[in-house]
Amino acid sequence: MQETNGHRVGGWQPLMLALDLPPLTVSGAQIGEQKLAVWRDSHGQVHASDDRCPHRGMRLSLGFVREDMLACLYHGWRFDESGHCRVIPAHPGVTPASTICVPVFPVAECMGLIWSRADGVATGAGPETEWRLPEGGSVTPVRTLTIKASLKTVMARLGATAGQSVRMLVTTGSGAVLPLLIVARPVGHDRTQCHLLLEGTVSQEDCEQAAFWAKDFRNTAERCDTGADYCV
Amino acid sequence: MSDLILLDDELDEDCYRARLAASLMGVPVLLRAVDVIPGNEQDTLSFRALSPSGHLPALTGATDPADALPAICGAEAILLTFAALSADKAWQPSTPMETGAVAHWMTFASRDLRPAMRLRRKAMFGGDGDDCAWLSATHDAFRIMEDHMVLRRISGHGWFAGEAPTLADIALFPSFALCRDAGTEQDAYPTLRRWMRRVKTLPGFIAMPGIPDYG
Ligand code: FES
Repeated sequence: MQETNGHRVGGWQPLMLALDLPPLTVSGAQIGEQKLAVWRDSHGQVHASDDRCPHRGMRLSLGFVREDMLACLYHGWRFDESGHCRVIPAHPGVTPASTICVPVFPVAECMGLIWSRADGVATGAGPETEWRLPEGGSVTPVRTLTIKASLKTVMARLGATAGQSVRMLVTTGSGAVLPLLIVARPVGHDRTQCHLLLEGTVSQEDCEQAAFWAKDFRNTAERCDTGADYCV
Repeated sequence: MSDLILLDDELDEDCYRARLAASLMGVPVLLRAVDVIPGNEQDTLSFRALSPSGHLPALTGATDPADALPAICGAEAILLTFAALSADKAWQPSTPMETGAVAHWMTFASRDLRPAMRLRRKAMFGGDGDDCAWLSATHDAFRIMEDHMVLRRISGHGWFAGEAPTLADIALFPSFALCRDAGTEQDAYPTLRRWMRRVKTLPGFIAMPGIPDYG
């Protein structure tokens, strides 16, 4: 499941908090070099496809969801969850050929996160196993944050192993103990995406404290790793 | 009071702030297009007579002849004027704390989001400037906004200041919604994206080129 130097990233990858993708919305995500359009239909189901419209190459993640299909912003072609084009607005009477389609990717929603994989492997094992997520129990999602530091730096600061979830207890200034659950992966050039959750159902105040902790953690990690830059 | 006339450039972000505000607050204004590109009309003597620094947007019809001000200039000033003119008093901050928070974010919009506006202008119309510094300053500003809205979400709020949308949301919205014009990604700001969708569903919301009004 580790990154194999930049290109094909194997295994389940945590893309975003489930709460950050409300029904009928689409969002962009990336696994290695693979760009994804991730969208949620009216029944709450999440789908992921290649982020490139087969018509003229527009990014589908800039589109919108209509009638439980992903619609392209440019000329409105609509793709169902299997990636098949079902509607071409310029030709309302015509059923699009079954060859017009966009590649789709498996999606899992678990532990308050949306996961996908772009390696084409179907192992049968879910993200729980691969990432050693805590069994059962509920989680409270806090936030996703992007840290301008390498995954190596971030994992070293957490004292944990890349590719696995991190469980740690943090004591706040007021003496409360926060049961943090962190799932981190590399994104883009030398940046790390951290999804932060709390185990169990916690109070609003603990959630706020966890968000403050996250900001501090980001600051420290970025100070150790000043190489990351937006202009690459 | 005479008719309110907004001197406007359709593709300018600050002019969009003013149009959006007028529409959301139900303030009737007449638009008068100023030919900025390619005409440079903002540098003509007649325009400078209204807006001495050549600033857009500019609003006429809201000034008192006694104060010798021919027009109200700049997005921030016009937003405040519209809020005062609007029949909908909800656009005026109701507590000192809300006044402070709204002022804070309006200042942030006109100062910290300036690099985002410059980046977009350069991407669309060319010109000089340090893209790299602007891009990094844009991400710094968006990060501050995202951090704030994460805490707002946790405490059960959906807007930058107060319980309902305020001038702060109107002032901040265009830079984030238009950042893709300059190729800036929004994926790293999921909480801002949800807030952006919320703004788009407000009664009276209007789009501009570059901001689809659905999605
Ligand atoms: S590019 Fe997608 S519909 Fe034309």
